[in-house]
Amino acid sequence: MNEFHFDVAVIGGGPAGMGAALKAQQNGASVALIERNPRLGGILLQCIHSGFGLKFFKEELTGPEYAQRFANRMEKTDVKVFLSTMVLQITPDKKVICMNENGITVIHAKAVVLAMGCRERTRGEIKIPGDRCAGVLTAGQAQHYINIDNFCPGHRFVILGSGDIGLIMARRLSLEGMKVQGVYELMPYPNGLVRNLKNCLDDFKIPLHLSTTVTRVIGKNGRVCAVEVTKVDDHLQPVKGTSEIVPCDTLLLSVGLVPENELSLGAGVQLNPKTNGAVVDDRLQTNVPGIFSCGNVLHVHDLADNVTMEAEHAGESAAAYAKGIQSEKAAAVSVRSEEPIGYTVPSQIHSLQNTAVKFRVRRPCEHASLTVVSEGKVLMRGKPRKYIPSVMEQMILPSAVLQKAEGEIVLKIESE
Amino acid sequence: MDTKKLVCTVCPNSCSVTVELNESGEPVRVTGNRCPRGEAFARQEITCPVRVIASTVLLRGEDGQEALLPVRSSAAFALSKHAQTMELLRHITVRAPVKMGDVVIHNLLDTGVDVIASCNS
Repeated sequence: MNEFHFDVAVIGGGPAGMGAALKAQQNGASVALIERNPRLGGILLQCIHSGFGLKFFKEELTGPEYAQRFANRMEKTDVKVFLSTMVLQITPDKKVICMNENGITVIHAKAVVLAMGCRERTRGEIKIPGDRCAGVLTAGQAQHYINIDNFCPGHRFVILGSGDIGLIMARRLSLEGMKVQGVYELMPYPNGLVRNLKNCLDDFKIPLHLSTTVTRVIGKNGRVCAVEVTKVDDHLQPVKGTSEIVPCDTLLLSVGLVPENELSLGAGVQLNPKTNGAVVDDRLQTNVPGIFSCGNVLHVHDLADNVTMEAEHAGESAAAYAKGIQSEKAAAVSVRSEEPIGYTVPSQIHSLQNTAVKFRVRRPCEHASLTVVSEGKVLMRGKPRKYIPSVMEQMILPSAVLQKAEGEIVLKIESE
Repeated sequence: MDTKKLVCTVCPNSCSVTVELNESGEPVRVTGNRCPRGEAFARQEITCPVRVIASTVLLRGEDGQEALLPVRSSAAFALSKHAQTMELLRHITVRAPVKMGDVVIHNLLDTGVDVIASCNS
């Protein structure tokens, strides 16, 4: 059995893992990064479209370019990268047990950064009735087939869900000469970024059907031959008599992402049921001392740039913990949110410095003000503007506000 | 005077932009943009919409194995030429090794834009 000792072990080599590893290393820690694929980059490698890097690099890059820039930075450091290596278990005392072609490897770390990303929700999770035939796959799976494997997963597509991956795939399929019949969205509003609606659907004249969902998969000879789509009412229930049969050979699902936290649970990390990611404090530390979380395994982001910036923060915190320079004071302020805000990250704040708080609304809010309340007192109120579920929001809680907070602060959105 | 509403796609801010058009359909005034790039985008979008294209080409590895190389255009160019570009990319094979930024097609369809590799391979 191979054994190694590092200050910081980073699990996952996508944008979160690379961002965290580089920052931890810059802060003087010895760092190991463990990636299950033979190459660094994670899901960025199959996201060949542009739109990455606008915030972080101030220029527009494709996913592979964004990944390559970080991989190039990694090469210039002494971060030990374990490729084609699968982490099997993380123990609460921060032993990382992995397997690769050399057999079992154990990495003893003083701090661990969780950066495993997320997974797509599948047909089973949204329970679409009908035939269990071939031709139903997630949008990201189709993206891998087309952009990495050079496979053609179908010819005539229906896309369920207007999340960004679904929209991006609608364009990709059209460019490659396949037919996209339409994109169907259960909610009365689209779930993807506005620029993707325009560049991916409008440019290719692909119709978007809101408040409509797939109610049945119809197969013939073991393959999808059509789907039944039905309009839904305000309670998202199918409306009788509005069904339509749409012929297609493939149904792509773009119906949400779930953080991949099996390893975290094994290490005793507590999850937030609203995000399916870890409960963290302002240092992005979980309830297990020395285990940190960042990127899509913490909460689903819409921009890789935001993942990188969050990961750098986790990397810095992990390095400080490993070197014993993290203060052990109890959290000073806890952060809670009220509907329509779905969640906040972090949920505990130690330092009373300016602190970034991220959140997402669960439904669109026009002309609404973000309000920070503590013990019934309004500490801060933002200018009214629009909030939509497809955009992760970030606000800075100023030090002055935190100092006035009494134990707990509540984030609210108040529509006029 | 005619007006046209657009969503700016230059950055994730996605500003809603209104363009006032004269009798011949040319853009006169742009409002609603939060930065100068929004105005340039709106004028371009009315006269000749341009986009960056991203796709893949065949890559023959040093070991003879075939794989895909992600590529993109070095800048946005006329959307009307994208279908023709896809047809060109379908017939291209690149030999490894390739570095990010290497030119795969020089001056694509006389647009002055190159097709470049998106990563090392």
